[in-house]
Amino acid sequence: MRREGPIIVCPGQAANWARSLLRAKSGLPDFATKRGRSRIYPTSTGGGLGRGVVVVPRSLVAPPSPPHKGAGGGPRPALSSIALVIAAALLLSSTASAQESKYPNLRGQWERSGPVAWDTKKPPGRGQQAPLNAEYQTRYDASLAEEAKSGGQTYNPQVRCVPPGMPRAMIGYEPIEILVTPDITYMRLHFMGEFRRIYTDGRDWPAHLAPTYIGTSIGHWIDTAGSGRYDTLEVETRGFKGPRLIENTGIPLHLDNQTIIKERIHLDATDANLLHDDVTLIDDAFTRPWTVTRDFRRRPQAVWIEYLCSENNNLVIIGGESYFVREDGYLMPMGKGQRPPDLRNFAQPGTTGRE
Amino acid sequence: MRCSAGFAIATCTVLLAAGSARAFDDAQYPDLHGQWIGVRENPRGAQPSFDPPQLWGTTQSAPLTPEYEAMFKANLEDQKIGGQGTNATSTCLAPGMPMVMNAHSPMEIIVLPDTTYIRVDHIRDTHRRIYTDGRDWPQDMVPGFDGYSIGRWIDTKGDGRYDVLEVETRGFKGPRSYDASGLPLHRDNQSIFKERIYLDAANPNLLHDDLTVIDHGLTRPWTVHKSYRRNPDPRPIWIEYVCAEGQQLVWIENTSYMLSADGYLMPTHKGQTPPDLKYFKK
Repeated sequence: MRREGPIIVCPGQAANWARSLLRAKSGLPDFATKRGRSRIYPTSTGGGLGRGVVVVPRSLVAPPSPPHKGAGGGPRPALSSIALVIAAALLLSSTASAQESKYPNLRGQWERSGPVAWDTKKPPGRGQQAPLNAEYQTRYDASLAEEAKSGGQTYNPQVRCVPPGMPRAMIGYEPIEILVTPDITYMRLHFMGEFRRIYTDGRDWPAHLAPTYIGTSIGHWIDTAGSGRYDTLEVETRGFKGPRLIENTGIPLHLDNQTIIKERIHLDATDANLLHDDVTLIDDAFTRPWTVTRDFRRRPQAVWIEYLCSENNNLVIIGGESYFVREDGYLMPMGKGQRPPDLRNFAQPGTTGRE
Repeated sequence: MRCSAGFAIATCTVLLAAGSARAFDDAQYPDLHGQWIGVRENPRGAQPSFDPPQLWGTTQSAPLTPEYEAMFKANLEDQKIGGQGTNATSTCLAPGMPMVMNAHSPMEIIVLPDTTYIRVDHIRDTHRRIYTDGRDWPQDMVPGFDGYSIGRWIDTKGDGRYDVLEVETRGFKGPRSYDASGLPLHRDNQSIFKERIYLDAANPNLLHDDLTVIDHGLTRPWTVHKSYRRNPDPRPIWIEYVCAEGQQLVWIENTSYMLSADGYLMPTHKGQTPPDLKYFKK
């Protein structure tokens, strides 16, 4: 009697069946399914080896060859047909995994490997030797002086919980998560909750870019080793708003926000848990492009702690000056001798604090 | 024939080896790509309410306990005179769950085999992680505004495709409110949320979230039905939301003040006294 209904083939079992088919002359087991379409069931746990189940229509399986007398005598099942079905099933199941396996494994939690200075190989502040032009070097010097004098941070928008944006987001003050999909590679930057979208769908730069702190990124994957697998993500980012700094000492980017950032993101050739980001900054505040490499190390166990800048942020800026709000909620000075804020907008006389 | 069978079997073996990396077939999952925009069911506008058909700024038929109903009403009175009441997002604190699912700003969903991410950039860029890797609740949950979510995909029709994501979320910190009216959740932060997220049976560009709240500020579980419409533009624009940008509110002595356009402190309501400057030398 002709068997009806589809056949389920487990790739993990297929090799076993292939071996048994060489030895035995029995047909395939019959599993009942509800519909006769081909489908693939992935495993539910991430990171394990795929042992997807493939369902193929029975119609793909050729009927057994008529028995004939040969060296071994007796009936011979259609081994070629069955094997081809298995091959097709495996090809189907491997398509999805091939799609995924052609990208490097960037899952997990990436922590910066090194200090928070932009160029981790140099001391912070002036030691960075940022290639600033004269105008922006003057601005930078003023920021350094403010901080040295009173701990003031008026130059640093981040203290008001304005996000750092690019390129500073790639310092990785808090861990980073990377999600690779065919059209977009996402970067979740835990610090300040920034989110990068790197479009890898072949799009061109739009005629109009809505300016953002994080910019708009277009990238493409490259197979530099000719291995059939992508190993490098090249990215260009434009379309900014500001002000933005490069790092916490206040190295400034130009206020025209015409920054262009080029990156090559790739795993280390010998350590799959070390990620490199070769970053080149092109900015009108600089006398030349500035290239550094930022490294990130994958944690064996990801623990994601929520980061909220505005939670317990005790710094306020009033009238262009920085003040602290104490634990008890009262305002206090940030530096010795700092005058209280001007209360000109309040009606009560004698409460300006400046008598 | 024997030779071709052997070749085919050899091919099988090679393909088996090639396919042994984790297989993620996104055809198994509903297509949740794109930009999802919250459906506002109340024609009277204003801010989106937690229960979409209900009017924002009312109890929205929430089964509040008497204590929390009184808290909500006191919050509304404070807002009437210029205060911020129990709306914690006025300080740029995260909306958290469940408020983030109001989708003040468009929503994005990224489905990967072990985690589904829900992203809404409002007040701050929220990234919910819904773990679908079969894990159990951890013994120690680090509390967060977004909570800790465990989900599982279900094939309710038995057609071999997942169509519903069931989610449970626990592990909170606060304060949190249901929406910007300040409708408050219990300050013990023991909320539990259960969701069923699925595409509309007749319209694949309409997403539903049946969200049930279990909270000590309520007399019983409260279920609302939220919907989101997919933006037909395959390359939507994502606007960056930065709460701190242009934030004119400051909190001193647990009271809100405003910064005037020239950066000086000013009252938020008539007759408000200025902050006490006792820590400054006279």
